[in-house]
Amino acid sequence: MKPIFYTFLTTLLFFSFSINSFSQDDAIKVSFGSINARSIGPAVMSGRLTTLDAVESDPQVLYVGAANGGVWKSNSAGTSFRPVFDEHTQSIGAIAIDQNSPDTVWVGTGEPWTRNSISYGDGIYKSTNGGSTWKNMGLKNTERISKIQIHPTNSNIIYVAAQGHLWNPHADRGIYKTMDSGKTWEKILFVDKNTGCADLSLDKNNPEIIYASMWDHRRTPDFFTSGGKGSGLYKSTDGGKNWNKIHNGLPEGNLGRMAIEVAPSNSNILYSTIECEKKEEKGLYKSEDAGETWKHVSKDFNTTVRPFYFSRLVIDPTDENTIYKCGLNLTVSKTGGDSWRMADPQNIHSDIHAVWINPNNTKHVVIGTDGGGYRSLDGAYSFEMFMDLPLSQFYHISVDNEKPYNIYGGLQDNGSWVGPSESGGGIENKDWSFTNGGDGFYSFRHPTDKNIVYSESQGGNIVRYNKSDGQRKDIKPLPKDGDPDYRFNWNAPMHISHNNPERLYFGAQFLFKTESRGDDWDKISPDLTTNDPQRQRQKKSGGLSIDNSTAENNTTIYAIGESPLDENIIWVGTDDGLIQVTSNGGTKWEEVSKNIPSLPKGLWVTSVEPSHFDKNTAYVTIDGHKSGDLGKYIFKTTDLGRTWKSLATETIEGYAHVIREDLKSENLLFLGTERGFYISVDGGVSWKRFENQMPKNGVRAVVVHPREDAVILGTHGRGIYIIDDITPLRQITKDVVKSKLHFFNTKPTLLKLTKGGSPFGGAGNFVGANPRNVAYITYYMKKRHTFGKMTLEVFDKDGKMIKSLPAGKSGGVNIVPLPVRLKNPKAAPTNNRMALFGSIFPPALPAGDYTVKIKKGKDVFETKVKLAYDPDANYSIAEREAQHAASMNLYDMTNELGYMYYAMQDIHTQSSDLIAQIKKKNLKKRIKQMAEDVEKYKASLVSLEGDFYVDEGEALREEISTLFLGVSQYPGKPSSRQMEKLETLKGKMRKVHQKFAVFKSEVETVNTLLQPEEKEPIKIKTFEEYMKD
Amino acid sequence: MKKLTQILGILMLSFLTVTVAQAQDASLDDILKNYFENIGGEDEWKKIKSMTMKGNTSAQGMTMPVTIQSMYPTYFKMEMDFQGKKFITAYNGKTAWTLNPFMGGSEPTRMDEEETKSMSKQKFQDEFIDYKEKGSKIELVGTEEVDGTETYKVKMVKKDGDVVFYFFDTENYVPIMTRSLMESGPMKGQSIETFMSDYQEVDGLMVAFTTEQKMGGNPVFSMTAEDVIFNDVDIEANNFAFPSEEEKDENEKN
Repeated sequence: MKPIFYTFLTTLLFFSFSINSFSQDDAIKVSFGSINARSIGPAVMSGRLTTLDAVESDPQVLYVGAANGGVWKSNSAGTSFRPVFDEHTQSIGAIAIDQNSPDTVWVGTGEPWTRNSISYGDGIYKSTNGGSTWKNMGLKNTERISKIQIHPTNSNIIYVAAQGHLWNPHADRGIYKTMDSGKTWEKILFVDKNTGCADLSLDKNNPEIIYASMWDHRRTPDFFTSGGKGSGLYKSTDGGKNWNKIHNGLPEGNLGRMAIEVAPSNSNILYSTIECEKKEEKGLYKSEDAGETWKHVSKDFNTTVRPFYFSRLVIDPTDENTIYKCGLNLTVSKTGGDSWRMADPQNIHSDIHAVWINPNNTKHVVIGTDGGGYRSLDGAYSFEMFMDLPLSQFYHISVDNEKPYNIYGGLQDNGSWVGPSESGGGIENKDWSFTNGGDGFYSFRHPTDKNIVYSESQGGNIVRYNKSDGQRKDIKPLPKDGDPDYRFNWNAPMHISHNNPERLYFGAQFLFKTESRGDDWDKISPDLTTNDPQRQRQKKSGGLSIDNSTAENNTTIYAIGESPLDENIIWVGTDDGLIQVTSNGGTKWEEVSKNIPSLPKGLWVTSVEPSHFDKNTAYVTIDGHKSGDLGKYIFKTTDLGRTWKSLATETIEGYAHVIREDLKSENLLFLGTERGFYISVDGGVSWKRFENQMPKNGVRAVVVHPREDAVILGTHGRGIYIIDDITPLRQITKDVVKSKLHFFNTKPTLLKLTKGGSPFGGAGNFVGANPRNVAYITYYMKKRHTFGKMTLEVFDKDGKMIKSLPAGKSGGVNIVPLPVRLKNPKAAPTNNRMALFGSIFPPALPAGDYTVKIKKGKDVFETKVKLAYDPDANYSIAEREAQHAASMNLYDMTNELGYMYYAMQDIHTQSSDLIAQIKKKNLKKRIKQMAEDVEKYKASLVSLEGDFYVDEGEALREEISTLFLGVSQYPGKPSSRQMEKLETLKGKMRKVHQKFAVFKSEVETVNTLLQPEEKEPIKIKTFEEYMKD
Repeated sequence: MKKLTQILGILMLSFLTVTVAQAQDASLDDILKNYFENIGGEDEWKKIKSMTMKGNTSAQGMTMPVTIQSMYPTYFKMEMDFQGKKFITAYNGKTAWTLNPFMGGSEPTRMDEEETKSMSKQKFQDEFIDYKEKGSKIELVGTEEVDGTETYKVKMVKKDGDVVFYFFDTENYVPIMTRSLMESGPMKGQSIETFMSDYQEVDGLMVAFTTEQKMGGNPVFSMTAEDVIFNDVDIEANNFAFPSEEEKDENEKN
């Protein structure tokens, strides 16, 4: 096996700058091959960061962890990042770098900020090569890890604060310790199955001393309780063998979530934020005797707010009186907690969760918030945002029918936004616009009115936004006299009818319908939920700190779907386990979840999908994780809910969020779960995870574009992903997957106009990829091609081969990009930059039919590919053909001149060699003259002097390429001046051809004279030979 | 008793068939043995001291002719021709150098320490030949699906600590992909995958004629050979050396 040439890449990296301007029995075992999903962000509002750490001796190296977006690493102190954890679980709890050996990094998975939408982890990971690869080191069932502390002088000793299961009691929690760098673990502090470790602080000056905060807490679908008898502050002085409570001075009664930190500069000073029973006793406590006694030093709002979400304190490593408190805002005290200031509240996102202070320059502060990461260099007075983290957390998305289409969606704590599926220069941060604030969920553009966008914020606050004047109307259905309070889910469902663009549904415990854009609502159902008071405790939710944010609203409608085939059939799913269906527009409803015998009661119906092919068919996904049930529940009915079939298989990981049926192929199904995206090509018999370019992120929304044949995914933590062309998937059948090679039918490829973007915005601005402006040749091979020759050639309508491309070798779907350009011109050399650029890119292929032939071993497979001009572009076909004709003239000239140049060079070389060998004086003189003449003439055709920058010349070769650049870059017809210049150049070329003919005839004469000398004649390649080489 | 043995025999056979089909039971020795056999023999490959590959490379939608010369133990030279300009990257065991008219002007330049170190890791001879003597450790890590095909995943830790994963097709035991981390440059730490296909026979040995490289899943480089020549007498150490002044002038004139 031959060597691998890694570093030749450096040579080739040059190309990257220039290209951007001018890619069961019934089970069908499919392989996705080279189908890719492109990530388009957005990063402009980013997403929740939960933890971060940097290398103290080299703070350019920074790792950030996201709630559901993996771990990202920067080598530029945050200017730009790349993801380093994409093969693993994406919910990150804690990151700790071994500062003695910074290539060793520990990541504890499972976010500790236990909001209702939180994900879960699968243990602790270690890297020893600076984050390039990771190994799971255990603690797999801890579900979430809140802190990791590494012994300051013995890197084999690690302490892990395992917060544990949120939705059920479980013993895998507490404090774990390893003394052999993660090979084995010992649980050194365990309180009970309901109490985990929420914070941990190692005294780096006396590493046998450890402080811990234990937290008794639980979440259920409608309730959250923070605090209980299990909570407490603990201290060990012998490396965790023995523990004592350190409550002297703390409030009586139950305690909740507490942060605890020992000052790195003074081991006697401790700070802790306390959540307790009495409001006046909450806040910041300080100990000046290493935990012996505590004093209540502050009741500042930010020290008491939402402890479950904000209990994190970071003390300046050089000053025991400087404290940073994470919270709704970031507050900083320089007086040991006595007084506080807010850090840059106008410019940073609220909800701060993580802070890192550079111990060697405490003005350098990095923070993680619900809206991404920020960096300050002036001690947390002003912050700049990291613009390169596409961690947006979508709940739902929708698309419109513009060209290019736009994507609408609502984000966790980041409102509702809209952005394009493609944009000149890539999809930049500036391409996204804001439509509504708060936590965003569903967002739809009106199907026919471009200006209207429906969005919502948490708890059913639906608005109608008008883009043309920026005004928002509150259209939340209000209870009429006599109505009970409306119960809206935090993530209240909106649904637009497929049958009537003016019809919009909205769900509380009742289903509402409007056909006047929200100005009037009809209640078209009774209470469709269980209305179980045991699940209606959200007003008191919070435990020791009431937290009634609507996040715990339960016994509400969660999913709505009107049948595309019959507007009277409407499906509803509730968050307390009911599936309701009506076939008469809401007059009568039937509860059908009871017809699913294997389904536990009271779980969350996450999506309902009425079929596009049969009105009695529908799909549902159900999620039980909030009741501690991680089962996969996916069901299908073909008789309006009377009977159901399970579609869940072993291959699926993660609880199910959404199921979507393809719009054109009824056996093609899409599934989004908390752990990724799955596709079935056989109607749900088997599922395969789609992981090409996609991390194991929670996929909450899937939309099939009706016109574009694209699938758009909304992930909760990695933004939007698009698979641009699913037509191959629609054509997969049992016979196809058994074929040696099967071509898929493809739509005509539109020759689109390319646009540039806005350059020079600095590094670190996320840009989402556009779809490639190429045609695709798609085919399926049952087996990977490894042995023998395989070639792919493209022929034009005249049977001329115009391209030879590297064939895709994958087993499964192969997608080979066909660049819609002719072969590169073979130009004469030049030392003029513009001219060189003008001879790199050939003209685009003309519209028309092309034949593709694949030769695989002895077999030949053939298909047709069609290229068409974009009917929406502003240029008529006549114009585009005029441009093409002119470009082709110049392209041909470039090739011809190149040919003649090298031919003359060849003549010169061969002649020069001959001169020495010829004895006859006259002949020798003749050949010498010819060599000189041809050399002189050849040199006059190109410009080779100068410095390739500001000292450049121009001869005929450069004139041709410069004009080509101008003509070919504009899709419409060339200007009259350009056409005149073209004629001038044609004239000049005629002269060159004539001169070349003269030289050729001279060569012939010389060759005749050489015959008696028994010398080899001078050989000149033909034009065809030149172009072929 | 006989019937029982028969039944047991059948059960064992079906058990074996199942496990073979699941490709779990091949040992590392089996894989290497089959691999060398299928590519023409370990001893035959040892006789190869130089190789010239002429073909085309495709990068970012453009195709250009390329020639790669290599010689035992660590001589390399890749030469691409683009619009009359030559692009060269070479290493002769001591000096790594490059000629890149687009980036470094028209003079060949020596590579820096980090890049030279990177070049020095490429060896002419197949890493699996005499791997023990070379100080490498190998381990069968499991199986993985690559390009829609089941492969055996073999981890090699070289003497200098570098790790490369090789993925051997379970049906024909040739590697169809390798994976390792970029050593230097702006892409340091990123995963790079090299895919091999179009194995064809040259002088009784199987050579992958097409190589494609991807970084982070994105194709960055691919090459298809038209011609492969072994032990060409014209390949000698001088071809790979950093050009002298005269040679530089010749290059410039052309």
